[in-house]
Amino acid sequence: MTKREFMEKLTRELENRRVADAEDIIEEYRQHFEFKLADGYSQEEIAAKLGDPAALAAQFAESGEGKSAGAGSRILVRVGLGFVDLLEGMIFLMLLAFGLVLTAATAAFAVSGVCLAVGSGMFEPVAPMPYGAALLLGLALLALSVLTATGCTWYGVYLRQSVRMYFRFRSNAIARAEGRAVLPAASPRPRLSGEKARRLRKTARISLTAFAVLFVAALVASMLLAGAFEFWHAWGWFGYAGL
Amino acid sequence: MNSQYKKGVVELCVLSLLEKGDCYGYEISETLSRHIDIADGTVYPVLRKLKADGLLTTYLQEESGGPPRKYYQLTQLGRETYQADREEYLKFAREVRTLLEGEEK
Repeated sequence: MTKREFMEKLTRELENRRVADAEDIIEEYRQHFEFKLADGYSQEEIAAKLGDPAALAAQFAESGEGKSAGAGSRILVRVGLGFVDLLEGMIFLMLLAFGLVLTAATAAFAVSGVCLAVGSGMFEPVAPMPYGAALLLGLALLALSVLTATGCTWYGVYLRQSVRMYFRFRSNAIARAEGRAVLPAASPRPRLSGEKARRLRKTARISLTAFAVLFVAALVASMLLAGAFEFWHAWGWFGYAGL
Repeated sequence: MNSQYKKGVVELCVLSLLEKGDCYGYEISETLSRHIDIADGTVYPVLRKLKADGLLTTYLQEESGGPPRKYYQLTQLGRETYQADREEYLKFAREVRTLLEGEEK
């Protein structure tokens, strides 16, 4: 078979099978001939090595047939996903709100801790206390804020991964309905490097220990300074002076 | 050799080639036919199928003194699929080998 015969037969076979983008395919084989001819092969040799045009066209027809679902089921998938979106959206919003609360608590602990530690007297009207006890309590609160900050980070990382999982699931559902290839499902484990995860765990451990130790120390110091077990009565916290 | 299961691994071989770098169709066809005894023409339908499946994308690149060449490039999905299929195939090949060699003894 000459180059011309091969190309004509291939064109005819592709047309018979209604293969899309036939010109594109023809061009690929035309270039194949060009390369091989430049290497010194004869037209007959090249055509023989390429294989039977009818068999090749059949393979193209096979690969072109998408296992696409009908338009009806595609719309059904979209509508179904719409409901799932609504539900998932609410869940994610709730989870996000909790994250914000956690972040706000962290900020509150940090600010209170700093105020107590520098002796700003911010809590004087509510809970007056000698500076020594205030310093220890302030440092304890700072340690607590570091602890909750690592908590926030973990929480955020897992939340982001869940959102990622959901979007992967979503695009796969649509792709499957349209007969397109799907991506592998996203892993529930966040992409956190071992180094970073180790650092976070270490920070959490240290800050937890620091908080426990400092908080107990602050309590003990308060009792000693007030000279009473119930130091909060002695200092008249919360307006219960002298009771 | 049975051409039916040879055809099955051609996809994997194409992905493997493209994992090392972008190639144009003829390059892939040549490299494969050097290693596996298949008809030169069968690579092109495979490339088209992989593209339709979203494992590959194509782009054109100008060549000096010739028409632009169509290069094939792995997509992220192609990369992930290749890694998974490769593991699966190697495991399968090991098992078959163990089975066949056990029979000979």
